[in-house]
Amino acid sequence: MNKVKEYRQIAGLTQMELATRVGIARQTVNLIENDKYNPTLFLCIALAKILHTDLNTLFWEEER
Amino acid sequence: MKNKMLNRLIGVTDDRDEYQLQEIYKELAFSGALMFYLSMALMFICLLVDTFKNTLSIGTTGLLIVNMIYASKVFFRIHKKELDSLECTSEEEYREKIKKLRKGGFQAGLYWGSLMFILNAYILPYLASGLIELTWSNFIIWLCGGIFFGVTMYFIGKSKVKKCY
Repeated sequence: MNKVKEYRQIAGLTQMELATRVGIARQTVNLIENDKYNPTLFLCIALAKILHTDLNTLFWEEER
Repeated sequence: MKNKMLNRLIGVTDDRDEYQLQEIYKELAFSGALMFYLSMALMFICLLVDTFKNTLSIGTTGLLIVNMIYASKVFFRIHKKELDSLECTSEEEYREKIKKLRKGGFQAGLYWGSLMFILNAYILPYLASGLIELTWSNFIIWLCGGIFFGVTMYFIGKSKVKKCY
């Protein structure tokens, strides 16, 4: 599971606000947060920049 | 241009994001393929009806032209972008794929030749005049046609195989 939802909440943004800032639909943010859509690298970078973090933190799965 | 056309087709005014575009492309691709098969079936029915009535309607000709344009455009664009290429990483893999293509070409030639022979020697003459034209020349024509079709399919398939070793 990625950490987009967690970092969005830390940034104090709603799904709609994050979607508007990145330039995508709210539905797409929801799908990314629920791991139902694999975003392109371009979109991952845009999300990481808006959420003030990096790709590893957002998308890298931790080994258990 | 493409985006404008897509927006008009699906009835929206603003641009779609990457997820929405991906899903739109998927749906359009599937419906496009389905439409092609339906249109081919309709063309075949039109051909049978035309033969029965001994006419050549504009609908059948139009469907043939549209289907040929669609099939050629899709084939050449996919081939140009190498989306249908088969990559081989070893000599054994290459030989295996060529063997499969040879078998596929033989089967395609056999099916197509038989289908055309049945259609042109039995079905269409029967619909047109109520008589069946079963001659050796007809058999030889469609045998050669089948061989030509099979060989063409084999070479088209072979052109897609890329040696990557």
